[in-house]
Amino acid sequence: MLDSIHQLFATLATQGWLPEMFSYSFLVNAFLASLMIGPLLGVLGTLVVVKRLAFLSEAVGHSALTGVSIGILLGEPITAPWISLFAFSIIFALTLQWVRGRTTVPYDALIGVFLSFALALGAALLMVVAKKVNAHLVEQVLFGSVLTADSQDIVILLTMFVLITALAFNYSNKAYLTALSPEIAKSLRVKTKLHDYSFVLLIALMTVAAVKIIGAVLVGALLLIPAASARLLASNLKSMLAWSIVIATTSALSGVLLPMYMQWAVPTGPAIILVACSWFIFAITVHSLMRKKG
Amino acid sequence: MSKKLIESASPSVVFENTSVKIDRNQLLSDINLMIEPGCWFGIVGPNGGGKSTLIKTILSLVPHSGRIYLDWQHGKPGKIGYVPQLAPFDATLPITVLDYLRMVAEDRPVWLKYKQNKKITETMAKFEISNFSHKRIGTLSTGERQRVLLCGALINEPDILLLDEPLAGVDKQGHQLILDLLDEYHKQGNSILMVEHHWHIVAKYCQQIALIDGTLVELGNADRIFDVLQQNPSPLDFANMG
Repeated sequence: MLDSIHQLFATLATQGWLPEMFSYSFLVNAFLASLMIGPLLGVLGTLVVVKRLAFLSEAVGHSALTGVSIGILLGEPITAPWISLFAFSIIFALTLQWVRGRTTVPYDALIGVFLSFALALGAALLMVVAKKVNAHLVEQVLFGSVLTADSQDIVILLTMFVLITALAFNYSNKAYLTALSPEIAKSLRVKTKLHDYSFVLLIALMTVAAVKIIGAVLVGALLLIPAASARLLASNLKSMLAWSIVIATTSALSGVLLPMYMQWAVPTGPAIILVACSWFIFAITVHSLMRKKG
Repeated sequence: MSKKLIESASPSVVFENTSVKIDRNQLLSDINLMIEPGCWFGIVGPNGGGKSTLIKTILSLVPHSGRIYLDWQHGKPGKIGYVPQLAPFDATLPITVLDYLRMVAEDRPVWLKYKQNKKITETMAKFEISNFSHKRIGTLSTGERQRVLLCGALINEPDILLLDEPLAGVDKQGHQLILDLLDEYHKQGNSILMVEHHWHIVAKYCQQIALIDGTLVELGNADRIFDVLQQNPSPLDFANMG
C-alpha cells in the first residue's frame, strides 16, 4: 500500500506535478506523517489548553528523551527504540496521574517536578548513549528528522489517527466537560478519573508517535502553540478546534517541506515550531486588533 | 419536565455517621440525616461550617467516612443536577454558553454543526439566557453564570437538584425568576437540596432545614430553626434574617 503511494508521488514528481523532492520515499513518509500528526496534536492541544496543562505535554515530551536513551542502551534499534519509548512514556504519564490523585501538591507543581526529573534523567542517559552511537543520531532524537520516518511510523500514526477520531466522535463532550468543570461532569456520572487517565495516556502515545518527526525537545510545543493560538482567534469551541487543527497541520507540513524545498539545513522539529510560533504572533496581532476595535 | 407530574423518581438521601476530614481539618463530624423524596431541603449555617462539603459528599467530590447514599425509589439510579458554589470559568477560553449546554445535554460532539435542539432552546428561554447564548461562559456576570449553571443542571430533567448558593450574585429580579422555576420543578415531585444564605428564601421555600456547623446542630422546619438562630445568632451569617 505504502509502496503504491510512494510510486504515485514519484510519478507525479517526474511528470512535474509535484516538486522533485517528492520522488524520495522518506519525504513522502514525513509528508504523510505530518498530515496525521497535525490534526491529532491540534485536537489534543485544545484539551491541553482547556485543562491548563501546558507543561504536561512538555514533561511527557522530555520523558521520551529518557525512553529513547533506555531503548538504545538496551539494544533496541537506534532509529526505532519503540518498546522503551512507548513503555517509559506511558509509565511516566500514568505515574504522574496516579501521584496526582494521592497528594495535595498542586498539579502544576507536580508536573514541574516530573518534568525536571524526566529532563535530568534523559540528559544523564543521553550522555552515556552519546558515547556509544553517532552523536548525529542523538541530535535526531532531540530535534526530529525528516529522514527517519519509515513505514512503521506511518502505521503507528494511522492507528493513533483512527483511535483518536473514534474517541473524538464518541466522548468529546464528556472530555471537554471534564476539562471545564470536573465537579459538574462528575454529577452527570461522567467517569472523570477514566477521562483524566485516558487523556494523559493519549498525550503520551501521541508524543511518542510524533517524536521522530518533531523531536523530544519540541514535541510538547506542537501540542500547545496551535491550541494557544486558536484560543485567541476563535469565538467558540468548534472554531477553536478548527483553528488548532489548521495551525498544527500547516506548521507540521511547512516544517517538513520548506527546509527540504529551500535546502535549508534546519531539523524538522525547530522548523515546525518556528512556523507554529509565526501563527502565534499572527494570532496575538489579530486578537489585539480585534480588542482595539471593541 | 411535564412527565414528572405523573410520578416522582426522586431518591431519599441518607447520611449515616458521615464525617469529612481533609488533611488535618475535620470539616464534618457524624452527620446522621435522612432527607425524604420530594423535599425542598435547606442547608444553613455559618461560613466554614461545612454546608458545601455536605453537598459535595453526596457526589463523592470529597473523601468521607461513614455511609451516604441515594435510595432511588425504583432501584435504578436516576439523574442528578448540580450547581457548585461560584464555579469559575476562564474568560479567555472560547467556550460559549451554547457550547456548555451542548456538552451537558447532548451526545453529538459539540464541534459538529449545531442542530436545533428543542430541549436546549426551551430551557434557555425559561432561564432567559437565549440572548447571550453565544457569549463566552467565562465573561458572564455572576448572575448570568448562575442562571446558565441552573439551566445546565435542569436541562436533563434530573430527579434531584443539589444547589450550592444558587442565588449568589443574582439580582432581585433574577432571584424571582430562578425561585419560580425551582418551585415549578419541586411541585413536580422532585427533591431540591439547597445551601442558601438568604433566610427569608429558606424560610419561604424549604420544608425542612438543617443547621450545620461542623455537625448537624438542628433539624426541623423554618420556625424551629429560626428559634435556634434567635437564641444563638452570633456565629451565623445570614444576608437577611427578616
